[in-house]
Amino acid sequence: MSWAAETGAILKKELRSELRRRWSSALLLLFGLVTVFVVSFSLGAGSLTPGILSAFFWVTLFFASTAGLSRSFLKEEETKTILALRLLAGPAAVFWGKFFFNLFLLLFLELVLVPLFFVWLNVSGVNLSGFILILALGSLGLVAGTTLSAAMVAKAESKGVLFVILAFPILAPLLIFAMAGTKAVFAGFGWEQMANPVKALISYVAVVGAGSSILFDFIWEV
Amino acid sequence: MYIQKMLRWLLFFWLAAVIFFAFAQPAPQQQIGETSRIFYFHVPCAWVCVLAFFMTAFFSVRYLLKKEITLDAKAVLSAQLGLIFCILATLSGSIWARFAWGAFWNWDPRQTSIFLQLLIYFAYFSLRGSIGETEKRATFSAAYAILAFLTVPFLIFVVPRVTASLHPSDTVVGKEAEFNLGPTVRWIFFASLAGFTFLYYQLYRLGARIKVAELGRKETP
Repeated sequence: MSWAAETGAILKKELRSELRRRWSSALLLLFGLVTVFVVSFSLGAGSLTPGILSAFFWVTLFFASTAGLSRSFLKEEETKTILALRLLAGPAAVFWGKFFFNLFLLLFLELVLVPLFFVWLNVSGVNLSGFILILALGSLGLVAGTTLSAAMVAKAESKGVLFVILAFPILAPLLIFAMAGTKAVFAGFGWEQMANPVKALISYVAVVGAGSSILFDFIWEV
Repeated sequence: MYIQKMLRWLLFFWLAAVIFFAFAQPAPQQQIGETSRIFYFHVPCAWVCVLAFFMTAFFSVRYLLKKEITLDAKAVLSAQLGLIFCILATLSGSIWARFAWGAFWNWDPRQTSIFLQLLIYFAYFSLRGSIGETEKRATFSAAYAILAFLTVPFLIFVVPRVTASLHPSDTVVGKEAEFNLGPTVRWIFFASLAGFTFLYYQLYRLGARIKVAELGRKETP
């Protein structure tokens, strides 16, 4: 099978097993909902500056997504299917299959959480197309920066805490760039003020994505 | 062996001379005053912190390609030394910030990045601590070190350009450098930088000999 077909097969298998365990994705959604709710009700409905809003937006998204992103390899370990996966597919297919599935999961979460964030915190005057661009790049970066950590955590002890400890330093530059970009977007600025964060985000996604996919070959084989 | 002994004495006198001149000469920045002397020690610490992490990533790459356990030991050793210099750079920078900018911590991009470097070191050691199997531990921590090293250029070069910084740029190298620092200051600074790098090298050499000897002892009971 070609690489693309193999990746597609893994992605299909992930989606199917997720649909069979709908309660698990419902749990993820509820976890995200709690995160957004805690942030929103503690801040109230006052008018917040774009800087504060963008900071809370990414902090919320980071914590809401950790529960889901850390699970991608953990569930293989729990259901003891990781050996079968290793026999049937090459490391590149597994990495990209999990990568796209995580991206899909994250977009599903965002589809619910982002509108809620906007409504609960009275966000208005946003450069919407710019926001979607930054959100898309930020989501790609979140997935690129966590897939490798998720694979390592699945085989380590004290998994849940370790995932955040490992993922945060890798994701920190991404969060800084995304916050800078979102701040400009929430302030209603145009493309010129977003240029630097967007360029930084693109290069982050390229470097960390490529690096993770190469390093994954090594950790998949031990 | 004789040369090694000579080199150790040279390092001792070199660093002693750096410390002497750092205090005997006028303070490097007249506007900031006497506290700016910490510049001679703070910047080299930060430099060694990044250099040591580069070496960790370098040995990690070699470990992944060759799978020799001594390379893993060298990567860990360099990370241990780097952690010490990282803590020193953070503390000295924080003390200087208190007197130059008014608070111990200002969330300046460079402060953020040195703290993140500290977190990377902690994460690296936590990962090693939570895996029992030797080969798995070595491979995973090597992969993590390399991935983390890929983000370091973003922290050093990109973050200060996306957000506003209190740290001066172009101080040591670049267009403004000659204008900012006098020739004496530059001499002492580069001597200190060389001295700190050499100190790291000596510590690394000694540590590597101990680690290799320990590994050899474990293999032949």
